Amino acid sequence: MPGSHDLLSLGNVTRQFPGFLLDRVTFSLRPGAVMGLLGPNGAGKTTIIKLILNLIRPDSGSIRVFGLDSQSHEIMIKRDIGYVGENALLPPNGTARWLGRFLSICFPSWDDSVYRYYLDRFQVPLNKPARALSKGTRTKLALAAAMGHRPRLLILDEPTSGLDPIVRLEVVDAIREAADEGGRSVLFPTHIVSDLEAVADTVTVINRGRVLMSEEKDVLLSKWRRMSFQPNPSTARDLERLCQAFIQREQVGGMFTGVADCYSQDLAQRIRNAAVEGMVGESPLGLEEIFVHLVNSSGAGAPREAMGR
Amino acid sequence: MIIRLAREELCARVKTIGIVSVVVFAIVIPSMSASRNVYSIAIPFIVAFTAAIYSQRSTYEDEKDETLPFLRYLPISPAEVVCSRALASVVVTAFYTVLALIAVTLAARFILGRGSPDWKAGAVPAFGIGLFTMAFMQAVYFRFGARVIVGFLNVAMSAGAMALLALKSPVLNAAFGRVVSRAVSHVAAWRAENPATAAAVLGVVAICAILATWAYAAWALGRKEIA
Repeated sequence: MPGSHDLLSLGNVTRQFPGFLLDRVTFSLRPGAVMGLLGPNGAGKTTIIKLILNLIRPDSGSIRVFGLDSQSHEIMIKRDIGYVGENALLPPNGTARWLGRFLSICFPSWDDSVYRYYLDRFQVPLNKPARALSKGTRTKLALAAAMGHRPRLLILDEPTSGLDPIVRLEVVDAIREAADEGGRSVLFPTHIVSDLEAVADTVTVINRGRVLMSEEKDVLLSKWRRMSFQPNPSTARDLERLCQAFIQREQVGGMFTGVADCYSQDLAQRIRNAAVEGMVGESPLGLEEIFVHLVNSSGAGAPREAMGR
Repeated sequence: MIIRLAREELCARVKTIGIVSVVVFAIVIPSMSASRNVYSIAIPFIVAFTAAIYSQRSTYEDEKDETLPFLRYLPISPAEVVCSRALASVVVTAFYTVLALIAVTLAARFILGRGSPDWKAGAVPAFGIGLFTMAFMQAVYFRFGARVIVGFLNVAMSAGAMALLALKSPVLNAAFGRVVSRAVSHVAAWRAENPATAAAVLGVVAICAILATWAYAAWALGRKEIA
């Protein structure tokens, strides 16, 4: 739940469009954290970004950035936000030199040396208009522009989407470096999970306009496990109860395999008690697998008990 | 901030300003041949026409380049955007007014063989009409988008043509001609008796109309959502 010290907090934000509902979105981002906003295409990630930037307005709910209301303090808030979009919004005739000059008018805290550092690092030509740059170079230019005023909050709306692996790694490296600079928070909506695994501290998963979960990445990874065991015939009653802990399960031959989303030492002990000795195995799930499980289970809208049957 | 934004806007529109300037000269001769009073009709007509064309072209470019979404992502308020546009419009309109004056003077002297013009009679109303046209077009653009401006121009030109036809219509003249000409002569007489008051009233009305239109433009831009 959002707290008073959060850098960014959304509380029950709802916005209706024809054919799409962003439904009571609630999450928060603490100072200095990198939050991955994971969701399939059309989940509502960009809508959330636009709501935060007050480009669209919510039907209900509250959005607070740096402790300020996003609608009544829009300009003050935007001075401390760096934004990079999927299709980097740059004037097609604007060069990197022009952009630096223009943004220095808009941001009181503009630091040209930071901007030039990123331009040099990414080897962005200074005098070439944005329309003549490749998509990767435009993204790098947008990232340099977003960093130029040393923002407290960096919002990256799928900046790596559609980039080749080399450029993607460069951009992710720069994002990681930017996040490591003292106190800066990053909101990183994407559907490319591998980009997040390296940088995110917190993960929020959304699908069809609803937040499925929002949690620390390490906690999330520790809670999800794939477990397999051979049930002991004498503990058949316990097995029925244990099954409730798995969101997906199957039994092939005598071997039971399932995915648990609330793994704990207690659960592991109970499984060991219910299994034939030495016939218990467990392995952690990657972020991508967790994401797929969450989205699939929410998309079907089916109750947990019916999963995997 | 507003002045620097206005300067950027003007720099971005240099090409458009140049292209539309050609239009000024291209329409001077036919408009002067058609108008009886060169300076009170031709100059406002030219400035209004060029302001409309400039607005149409600049808003189209604006929309194509996604300038408004770009600005909305930045810490610039809608009021600042509109004020900078208004300032740029003042400069552009003044430029077109001067250009129209030069074009009309040259045409009057060397083509029609008339004497030196009384530029005050045409320039001040021309500037006001041009500025209002710019403000109106920007307000339409911020509220509805650039495509509507093209439609609006088509409707305005059709309405103008119909108004000209109506002026020549014997049926309408018989029905309303006497009333209209009496009203016009009353206003003209009052204006002749109180020239200073008439100029002040007209000036205040024009300034209020222009400011109200820019205020509406700022409101429309503030309400606009970037989908």
